[in-house]
Amino acid sequence: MALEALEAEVKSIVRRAVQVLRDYAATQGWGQDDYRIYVYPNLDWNRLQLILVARALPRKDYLANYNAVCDFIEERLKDDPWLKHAIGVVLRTFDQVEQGGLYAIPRSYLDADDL
Amino acid sequence: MPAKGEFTKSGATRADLEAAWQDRLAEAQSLLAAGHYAWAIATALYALEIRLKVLVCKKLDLEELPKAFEIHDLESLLLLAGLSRRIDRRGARAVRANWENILPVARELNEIRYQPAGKWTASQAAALFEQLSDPTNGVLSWLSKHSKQR
Repeated sequence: MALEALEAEVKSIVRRAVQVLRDYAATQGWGQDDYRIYVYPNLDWNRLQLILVARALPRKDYLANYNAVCDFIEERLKDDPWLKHAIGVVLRTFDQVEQGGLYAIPRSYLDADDL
Repeated sequence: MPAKGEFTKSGATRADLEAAWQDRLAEAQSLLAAGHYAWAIATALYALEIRLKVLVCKKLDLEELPKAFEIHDLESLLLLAGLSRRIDRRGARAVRANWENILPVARELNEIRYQPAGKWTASQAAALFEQLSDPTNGVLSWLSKHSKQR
């Protein structure tokens, strides 16, 4: 998906969602090099998927990490139920992405740093 | 927007789809057992797509899937099946975690054809099958539960 193809309104929604994850990263004490965010806007169907890739995930298992991120998103977007419902999150580590295969970042996802 | 007439042009029958998703899942399990991980993953994802199409037919009380719904986007199919809000409920969070994990690879399903088998490992395939078939929180298990409830 080309970044230029995103309309201004879509970009604004995507940026807001990305910022929520950046805020989450800040609460974990992660610096800019400790994580990356990728985005797949599927707004024709009211969905926006984000992949958060971190150097390491702090909790014991995937679900515990996922719950922590979802709780943060729900709290941060409690006044925006549309966006709260639209966002889906996948968590990865740099090592997993390096493995590729199932964990590769699909080409159709945008790097949030380019937004 | 579907072309004129697409909602009245019928595609596969619900009965065929019902049999097909179970066939694809069985084939995926055979491929997994044989160590063909990339195709095991791809075939399991086809099973999920077809399973969702059965649920769309059920939700809309149709014996044949309209051509317009012969789409491959899983999020769209979940919505058409009437389950997109249900999976967002707090009690379904573990299922949603599995569902979200499946979506990126499902979006690139066609790309698997062009990738060497070595990129797909046994542990990755096992992870995907657990996301799909775990009896408590697997996506297919959850869909079956909701299919019976409705």
